[in-house]
Amino acid sequence: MLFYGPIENQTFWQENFYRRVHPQLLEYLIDSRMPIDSDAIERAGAQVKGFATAEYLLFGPVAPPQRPGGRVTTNSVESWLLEGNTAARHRQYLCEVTRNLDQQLQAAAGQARDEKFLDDFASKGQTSVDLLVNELTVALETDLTLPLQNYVRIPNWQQRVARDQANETEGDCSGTTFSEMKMSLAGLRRFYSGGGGTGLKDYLQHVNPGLADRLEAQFQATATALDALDNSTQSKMLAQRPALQNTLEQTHKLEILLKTDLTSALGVTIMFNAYDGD
Amino acid sequence: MTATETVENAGTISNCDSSERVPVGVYGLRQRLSCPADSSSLAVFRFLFGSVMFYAMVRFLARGWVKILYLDPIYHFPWAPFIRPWPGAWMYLHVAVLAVCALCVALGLFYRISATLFCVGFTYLEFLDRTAYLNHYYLAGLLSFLLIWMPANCQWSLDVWRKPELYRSTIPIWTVWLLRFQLMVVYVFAGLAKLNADWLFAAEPMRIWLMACSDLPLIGSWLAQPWAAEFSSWVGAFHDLFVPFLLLFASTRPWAYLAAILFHVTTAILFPIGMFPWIMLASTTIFFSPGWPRRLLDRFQNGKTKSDFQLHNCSETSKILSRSALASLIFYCAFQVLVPLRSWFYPQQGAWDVRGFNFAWRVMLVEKTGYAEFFAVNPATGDRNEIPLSNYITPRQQMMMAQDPFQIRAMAQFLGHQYPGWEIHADAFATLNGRPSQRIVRDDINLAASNVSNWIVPLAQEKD
Repeated sequence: MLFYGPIENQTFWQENFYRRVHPQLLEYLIDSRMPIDSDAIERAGAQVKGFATAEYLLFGPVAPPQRPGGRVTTNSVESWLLEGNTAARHRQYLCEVTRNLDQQLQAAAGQARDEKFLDDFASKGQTSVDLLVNELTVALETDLTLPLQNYVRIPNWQQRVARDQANETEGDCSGTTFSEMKMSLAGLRRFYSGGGGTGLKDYLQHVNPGLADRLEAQFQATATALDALDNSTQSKMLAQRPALQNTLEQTHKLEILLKTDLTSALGVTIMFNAYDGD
Repeated sequence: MTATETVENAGTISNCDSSERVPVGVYGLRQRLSCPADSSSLAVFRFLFGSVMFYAMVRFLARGWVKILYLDPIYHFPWAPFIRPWPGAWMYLHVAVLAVCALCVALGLFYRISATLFCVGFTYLEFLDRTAYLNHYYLAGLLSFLLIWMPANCQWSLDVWRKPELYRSTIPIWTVWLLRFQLMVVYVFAGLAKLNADWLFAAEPMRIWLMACSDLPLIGSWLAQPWAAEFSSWVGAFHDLFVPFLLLFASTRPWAYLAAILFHVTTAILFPIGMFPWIMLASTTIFFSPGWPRRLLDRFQNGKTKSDFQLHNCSETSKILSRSALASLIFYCAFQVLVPLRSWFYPQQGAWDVRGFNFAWRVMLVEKTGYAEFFAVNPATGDRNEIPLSNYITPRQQMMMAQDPFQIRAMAQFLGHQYPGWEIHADAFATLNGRPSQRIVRDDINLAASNVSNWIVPLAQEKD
């Protein structure tokens, strides 16, 4: 979230959250004689650091099931964190990656809390409204719609699991995908509501109360659909398919409300690359 | 007021009536249209129009729109299938040449060839991609087309400096009236289009747009008030409907032009409508009496208002408008009236389904936002795969396309060629003037098929 927000380094989110891990490159770095320290991690590319890398090192890659409904297994963590010649370097790499993440998140939180940013944000008026709505739409699409589509829409699910799931879906190897989605939706809802202060919701209530009510109802419907999902996703994929489908439909409805109704009601410029109009 | 003053002020052909009775019928009309008028206002029009378009082209380059609009997309939405953008840097060169041509038009240098090149090149640019259609660029194309046929370089131009024999103090009055007619068409049809329930009684989309401007200093809090939207809607409609007529008469012209300045400058401040206000303000100077620049110049130079322009009687006109030229004028004028009129024969006048909406001066009329996804559907198995649109079109194109069912269909047909043997379905929603979003095309139809019917979902829902 906050692609365009207060974070000075605009690649922050992509580097730390959304870029998938590159296992071969990661193993090559760990096997090499390269010193593993904070400088090395800072210099490392996005595919060998960030949350995905930490998750990979902690939980290992997902092994696809052999048949529909079969068990999805993860590699034994002990196999590389505790055993073998490179176990120490694996652990060291994991420590440095998480330390790097912690530093980056602290810095980001500091930037977001900066009063100068808050004043600047509030003084920009409609530009800030544009920013918030764009953030909402992008975050919903990235955090919920796309991962759900990964699960639901690709017709041959076996192929998908084998090819994409382990590497494309956030939180897959740690089994936290749906927990993350629920947290993301809760975060988005809080973001929309103003996080305890005044937010888009209040503005919309003033501009178009009917739409504000519909949006609130759709947020709730999406949250309810997400709550119905079992967290241990991979092993119950087929059994959950109707629930997944329903969640995707509810998310899609929310996405349409945000991308069309809300955008239109608040006169938002989408994507920040608007051409002239008349 | 003398007869001469009347002519000077109104810029009409009344001098034809003042001395000799002009024959009636076609010949009379040709004679009336051939009456001489001071060429200085046309020269100023040429300069202002060329300058604004020069600025528009430089702005186009500076903002990177050549890349965004024409180079980034894999697929364009051309008005005609054979229209393709130049490859790579040639597109930049094209716009740069247009800028040079516009400057030449402004300066009156190699005027005819510059105006012709500008008209052709600019029209080509506009016809490359439907998602980039703008009413005021259509107007600019038309005005540049009209200028090709007018001797707008016969005064205050570098061409006259190069070849003094080109100098003429008068031009036939039809040139002035044709430009006035063109601008009146824009205003009147824009005004007529505003006579609908959304605009007049719901104050939409003005309410949405003004609310988005409520962060402006001083006036912002007013703009958020419901009365501001209602007031602005009615003022906008009245302005468009009556200003062109009020500009015709000497007694009301100063107030009408002042109103036009206020209106267009306000819209320039409030809304992202680019060059539109400046093109209109520059162009409406043609409503002034044809001798106004010369009189203004005299006032500054001699402290006098008397013009050295000698009015010519119709009988003195050396060249009468030919029959073929008159026929061309009538054809052009009829075309300019009939094309915008077509939108009145469609239900909801095209605001939802965009039928008859373009080339009809439906300027700043709707707030519409859309969202569309496309799916390749295997007709045998029913497998349904989402097609990543970002492989073919830009986010801006996606946003514009999703508002227009015909562009959605064009996209589907393009995708049909990319996915042979698959059906192309669209999941597309749009919202109009604050109404709840609804499906704009049916999602159960193969939009890539050559023959489909009833594929546009009619606007059904009412406002919240």
